[in-house]
Amino acid sequence: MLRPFVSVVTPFHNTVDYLAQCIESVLNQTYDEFEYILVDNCSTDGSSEIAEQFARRDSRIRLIRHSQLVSQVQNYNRSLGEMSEASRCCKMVQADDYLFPDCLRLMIEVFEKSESIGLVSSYWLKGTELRGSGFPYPTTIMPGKEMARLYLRTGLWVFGSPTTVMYRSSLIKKGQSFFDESQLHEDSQKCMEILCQYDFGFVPQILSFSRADNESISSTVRGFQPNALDRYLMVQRYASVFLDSDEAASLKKRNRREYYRVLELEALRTCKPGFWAYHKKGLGTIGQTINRGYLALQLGHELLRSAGSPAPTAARAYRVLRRLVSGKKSTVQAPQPESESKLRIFQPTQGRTGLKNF
Amino acid sequence: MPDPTVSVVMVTCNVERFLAEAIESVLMQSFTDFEFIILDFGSSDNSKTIVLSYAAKDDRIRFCEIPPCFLPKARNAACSLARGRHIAIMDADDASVPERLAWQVEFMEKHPEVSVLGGAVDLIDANGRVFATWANPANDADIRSALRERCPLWQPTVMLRRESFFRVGGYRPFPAEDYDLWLRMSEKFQLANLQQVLLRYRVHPYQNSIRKRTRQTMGCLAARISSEARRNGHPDPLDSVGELTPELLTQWGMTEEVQQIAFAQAYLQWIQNLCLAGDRHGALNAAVEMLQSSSWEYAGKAVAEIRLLMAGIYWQRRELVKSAMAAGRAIQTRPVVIGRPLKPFLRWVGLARA
Repeated sequence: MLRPFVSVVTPFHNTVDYLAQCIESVLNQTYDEFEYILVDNCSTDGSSEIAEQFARRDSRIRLIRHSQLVSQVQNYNRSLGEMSEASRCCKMVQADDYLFPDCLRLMIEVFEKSESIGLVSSYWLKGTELRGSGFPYPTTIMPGKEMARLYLRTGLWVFGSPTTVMYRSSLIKKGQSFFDESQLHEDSQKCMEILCQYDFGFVPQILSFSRADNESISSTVRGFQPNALDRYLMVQRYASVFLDSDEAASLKKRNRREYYRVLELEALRTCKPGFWAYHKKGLGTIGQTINRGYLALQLGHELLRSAGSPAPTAARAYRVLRRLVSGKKSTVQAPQPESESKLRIFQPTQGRTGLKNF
Repeated sequence: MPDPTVSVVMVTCNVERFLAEAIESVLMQSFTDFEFIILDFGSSDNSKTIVLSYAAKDDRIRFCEIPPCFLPKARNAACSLARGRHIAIMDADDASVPERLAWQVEFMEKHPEVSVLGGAVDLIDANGRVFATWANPANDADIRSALRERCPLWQPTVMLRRESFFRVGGYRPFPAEDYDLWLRMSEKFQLANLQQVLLRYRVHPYQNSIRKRTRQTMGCLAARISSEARRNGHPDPLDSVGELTPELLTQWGMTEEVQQIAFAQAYLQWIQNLCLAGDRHGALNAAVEMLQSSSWEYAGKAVAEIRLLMAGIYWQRRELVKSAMAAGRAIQTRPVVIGRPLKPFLRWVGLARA
């Protein structure tokens, strides 16, 4: 029997609370033709010892320790570089997430249907919410370009995080960074790149779990509207790749309006410190800056709209006023310093709640 | 499925001729707690079908396929699939003796300090006839001192501890990958050789070519340079190169003379083996090709030796003129060879080395 070899990869840095659950979820898979590469990015909280205990018990695990602390994306890249040459598919599991038992088996099944598939995804749980829904059932293989068009036109987001998807290993070249370290949303960007040349596979099952409430990467940018920025970057970058020029132009225009409307609403609220810097940096990756004129135009629009409906506006003004009077301290969380959010290193977490059900 | 004790690891690429014999020699082992990993890296002949037909009968075989690549890469890939405590390396044109794994496992369990264990081989020709037996130094100290000059372990007889293999990072992508691996492993772990014959090692003309010999020898020289550098606490030069060239070796301080002598020695040994294996035609072709490929001004000793061999082959083929010419040129290259018939006598009176 020919059973393709899978590399499961978990890079970790100080995730002592979640790591054991993550590793167990991989070892308990119903498919067993895999290697499990655990890469320690200089943990100091005992994660490394946990990994070592597992490594001693199970020969599929290969634990690699690094003495040089690097950023999360860099650690992802160097972890992927450790994959076996024999590997056909690569499954990343981020250290604070985990897989459901059938994940590898079902994803491999789809992968084996065609050599042209470069990326397979499935439904996933984000905290308590089901994500990835909306993909046309019971399709399992969709041409990559069609999938990209579907996303651009409808905003259907099925790629989740690196924990959600499985990559074809031949796309990960030795000695080259898989994820672009200069990008803000390197994983979604990579998915779009893959769809340019490869097809997309989908398993209509819930196969992975991502945490919604820990203080990992995404939570440092919570409240910054990262999804709006992500969508804007994707549309600006890929609309003309996948769509014909007329449709691309109109989509770009519509999307720009939507994005600036989000920015403008955020500007009217008391937005978090770091918000503008974050968006400037994001736009910088496609060589744009925040267009102040256009933002002002949107602001004017909004003011006009507000003036046209006095009753809701008055109610809103009242709410804002009350919040300001009752004191600012409750509205703003302690901000992450800029350098920290750039490094995007996992922070040790304290006081998580509401997770025991999973 | 519980992990097996041993993972036998074999890579295959267009080796259909001897493959069945190799596979059967593993499946017939007296020690049975093993998995047999066969990894194909780009066969275009029947190799795959042969493996699959055996895999259907014996579920200890795990077959895997990767696109064409260099041998060290394929070996690494195959070893990364291993689940056993020990990795036994096997080549597709050789045949293990039935007790190989049993002897090796017994030794490894008794000597936890040893991480690399080789053994003796019978050299066989394409028809399976044994023409020589070759043992290597047995203990760690002797192997270590031999490692400085040559490769004292037959790769397809070796059993490795899996953990140690991964600790040194596996094979590196250069020719003579085995020699480089033993050198690196000897820096951290102990090595040993069994004196029993573990394997029938096949010498046949299609396994090698002049070009491959050259690369192999360059690999050996580079492995030695890199080991020297590590021993002296310098950064490893092999870490920063993609492909080996003679110029690169010169740059690392290996003179052209040393290189040429090493190449000539390697060819000489190969041609002698071909002769012993009874493949005179192959040996002659190889010798002619070798002599034409360079001027060999520094390697007179090996060249004279090869010319004498050629003279002998021509003689046996009754091509007396060619034989006399070859002998004459041997004498021209190195006049001392005239004294060759006297050698047994000199040895007897104690004036020459055995």
